[in-house]
Amino acid sequence: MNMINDKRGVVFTIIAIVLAVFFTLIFSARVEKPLDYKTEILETRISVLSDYMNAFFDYAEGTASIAGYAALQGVISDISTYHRYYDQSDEFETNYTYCIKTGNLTTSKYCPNMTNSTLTYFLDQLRNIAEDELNINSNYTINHVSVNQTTDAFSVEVILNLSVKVNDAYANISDTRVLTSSVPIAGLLDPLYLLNGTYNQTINPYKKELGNWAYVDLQQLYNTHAYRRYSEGVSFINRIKGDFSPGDDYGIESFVNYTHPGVTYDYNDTMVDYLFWQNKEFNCLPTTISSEVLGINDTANFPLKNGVQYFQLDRDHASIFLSGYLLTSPCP
Amino acid sequence: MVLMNKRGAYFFVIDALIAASVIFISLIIIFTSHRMVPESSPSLRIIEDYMDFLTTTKVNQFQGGYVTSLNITGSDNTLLEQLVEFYYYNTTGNDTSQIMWNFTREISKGIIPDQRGLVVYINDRINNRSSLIYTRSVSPMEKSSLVLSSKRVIFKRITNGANDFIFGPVILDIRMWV
Repeated sequence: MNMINDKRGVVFTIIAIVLAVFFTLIFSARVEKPLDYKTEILETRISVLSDYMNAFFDYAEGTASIAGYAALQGVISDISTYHRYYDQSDEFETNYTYCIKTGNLTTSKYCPNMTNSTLTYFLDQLRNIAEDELNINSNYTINHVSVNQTTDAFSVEVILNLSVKVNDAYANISDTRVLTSSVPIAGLLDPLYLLNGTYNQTINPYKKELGNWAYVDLQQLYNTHAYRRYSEGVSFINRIKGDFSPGDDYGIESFVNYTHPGVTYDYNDTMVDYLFWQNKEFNCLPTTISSEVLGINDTANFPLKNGVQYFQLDRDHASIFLSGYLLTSPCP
Repeated sequence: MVLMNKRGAYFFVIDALIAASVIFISLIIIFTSHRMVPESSPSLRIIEDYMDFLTTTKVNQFQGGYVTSLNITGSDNTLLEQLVEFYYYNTTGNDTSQIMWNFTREISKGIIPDQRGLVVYINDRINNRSSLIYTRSVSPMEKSSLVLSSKRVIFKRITNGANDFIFGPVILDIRMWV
């Protein structure tokens, strides 16, 4: 009987050992650095590649804005050189986007001001640094560049369709994104003044964009040569194209410096830039009620030119900024 | 006979306990050793997590005393962008090296353990410059058997009226060692 019990005990112990060995074999197989033993390092490296790719797109977005601004300067310089507006089809869009990419306006025409400022130059710089410093190979393709103005009167949008391929010994990542870069127009020469005016003026956005306009705004707009957004005005892109038809959602306007020695005018003119430089005439009549053009009778802020000529505005603009008591008929 | 049966019962119980112990201890050893396998990864994780922290945390989200005292106007910058901006000012003749040192010390405090050495460089390959921004060490890096490095390409848009430009790209190089 004792022998039988002893044997049973031994059997249980052996079963326990067999089970222990069985589990050991099963789990040690997982511990033996199988397929994923480098997973952490690979994940980290792929994360680095992924971060680099995101940085590449961010950099492209930022530099498209810088290149876009330089290209606008180039386009305006070209307008000045040839003394003509771009045509009203797509000459501006074609030349401008080509300038951003290549530094040329057309295949045979240089785009001024683009030395070391093209989008390609910036992206090549980043690509080379990544290759040398991070051991990351990257290639990009600029699929399409377009320009538009849909959000702001004082900036245009450059829309960039960009494909990027990033690879190293561990991974190969590619992505295509559409990036929108805002290009401010502040500080650029106004093509209208450049071609039609007798002096040049840079675009200086007024601090107030929308709201109720008061006489003080008119004074500041005039004194600082600032531009305000005005839906009946002419947008920056249309100023490049010489398209002065009213009703542009992103129209802007400024007031001509009537005391400037180069500016001459008569009683039928308004100082609103796109109306003045187009020689748009308004009927001047002796009474303020009936006259289409009005003078501002405030010589402290708007001195008389040559002792006789007022600062003049058409009736629509006068009614935006002024109440009646400051207005007078500018007719002799 | 009853005594013999009792003894047999004790024997079986003790034997079963021994068997259970063998299985239990085996499992403990297996699972413990399994957890210890990726022991080298935490250091790698720390440095990558630190880099992510720098690229995602904005200045206005960071409550450190020194950073707050700087009254940074571009508080929407990430910590990394702010460091690059300081570096840009340094390249234009304003000596911001002490600010960068203190700034980096504060934004690494508590994130990179004190027992680990840390050095931060900014490499400006375009202008052939490499600048030591911050370093701290318990033991020399050269004597360490494990030095981990993480590099990130960075740039910063510098707002300068109508003459905005992108400073960079430069390389932020962070090295950590035990």
